[in-house]
Amino acid sequence: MLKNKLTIFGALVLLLFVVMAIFAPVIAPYDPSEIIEEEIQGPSLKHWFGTDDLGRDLFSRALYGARISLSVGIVAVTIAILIGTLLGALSGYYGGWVDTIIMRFVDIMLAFPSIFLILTIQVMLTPSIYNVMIVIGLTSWMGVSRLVRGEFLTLRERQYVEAARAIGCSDFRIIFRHILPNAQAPIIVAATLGMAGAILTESALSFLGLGVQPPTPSWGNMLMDAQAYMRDAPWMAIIPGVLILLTVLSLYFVGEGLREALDPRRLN
Amino acid sequence: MLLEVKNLSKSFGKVKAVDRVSFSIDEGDSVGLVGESGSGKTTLSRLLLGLLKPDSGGLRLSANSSRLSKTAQIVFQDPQTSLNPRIKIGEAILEPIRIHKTDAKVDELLQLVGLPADFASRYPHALSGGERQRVGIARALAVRPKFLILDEPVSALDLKTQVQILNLLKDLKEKLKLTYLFIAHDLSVVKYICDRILVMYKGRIIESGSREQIFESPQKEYTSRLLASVL
Repeated sequence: MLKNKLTIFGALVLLLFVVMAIFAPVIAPYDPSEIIEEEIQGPSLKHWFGTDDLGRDLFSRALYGARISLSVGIVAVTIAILIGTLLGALSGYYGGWVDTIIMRFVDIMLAFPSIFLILTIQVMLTPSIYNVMIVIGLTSWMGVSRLVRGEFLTLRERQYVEAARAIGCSDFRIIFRHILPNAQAPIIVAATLGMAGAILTESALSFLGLGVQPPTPSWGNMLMDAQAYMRDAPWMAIIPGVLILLTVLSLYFVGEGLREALDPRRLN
Repeated sequence: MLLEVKNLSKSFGKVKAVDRVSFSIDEGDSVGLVGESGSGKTTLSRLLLGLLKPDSGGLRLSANSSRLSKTAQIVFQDPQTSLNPRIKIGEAILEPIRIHKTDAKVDELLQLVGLPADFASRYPHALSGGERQRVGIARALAVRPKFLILDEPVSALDLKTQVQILNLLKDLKEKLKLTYLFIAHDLSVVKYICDRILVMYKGRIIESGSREQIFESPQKEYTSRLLASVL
């Protein structure tokens, strides 16, 4: 029961944030980069979330930051799910040397501490929001591929797969039409959890100055800007921090809820 | 002759699942393949369908197509797992029709196996075991095969449903001039539907003969024991 409530809470929070991100230009009272010469003001009726050190409205910046943070999460996870699902499916379906090569590659990728891998790549590339999305996607698919491989190892032994082979289905058709739809539940769960991870990574990168570049706001670089003013303007750090926390927690709640709702034992 | 098998062998590691098996089946035959579990019946059937590659030996099927899957089809044992839970009945039957571009129709096939046409839009979980097995038969018949392998098609069903499915299979054989290889460990079922019987033990065919020969004067001790265990 409590779990259900948490899932609904998470879903509502996410829905609210997505709506705010989409309608940011309509909702935001100021331009996010506009300097209104009222720097470092605490939250008030005029500036709901206060203003930052340059005198920019933090509520407007948080709205636009949601656009960046959420789209980084969605795009990075889409890339990770596509790569992970494809490699995991091939690995689990064919087994043998295909499996060995793909899984050793996964081991190698996992052997790098991912944050350092991302940092290295980001230093070499020009930091931009697109590079952040791609780099996070390219370094976070390994878990998905292991998960999908495991699902395929079980599902390929099902009799309906043998039946599909007997009526002459191609491997491609068996993988994408017969097995993958039956493996979708854990992939969807992995996607929600992966999105939480991607948003955290984006925040960390932007916090280190290697992610989204100012003046474009993201929750991560808002946190970075807040560093120097922790004592005088704690709201500058608390607001993006709470937003990140709420988003990540909500994604976890929704992920857990989906995990339960999509459990095949419950479906039957 | 529809099917001729010569010295077919297949091993998994050290286990000889199928060991130098030879037999032939004429068109219109209804042949029983009996043996305890682990005797190699299933492996043999997968070899016949081309789902497994033999280590040695070969088989010849007088085919009406270059694709084996258009001539030989299979009905599986467990209707709970032989239908994809996420694919509707109609789509499941349509799939082989599309792949082999036959002129069969989904509603005709459903009618043929005694199911109403509106079952096409249902998912497998909404069907009983017997109904699912009928769908399995319809799917196998969709490519208009000559040869049907029935891999213990009734052993997962209750007694009343078993009789209904066996009668359906008998009717279909007449109507469509099919040839059956009926795999079973239950001799009473085989006695009901087959004219000729092959007895398999540890990967080898140890005895074969007409139904009367096998049931009335079995030559091998194993066959006698197999008969004694059911009768």
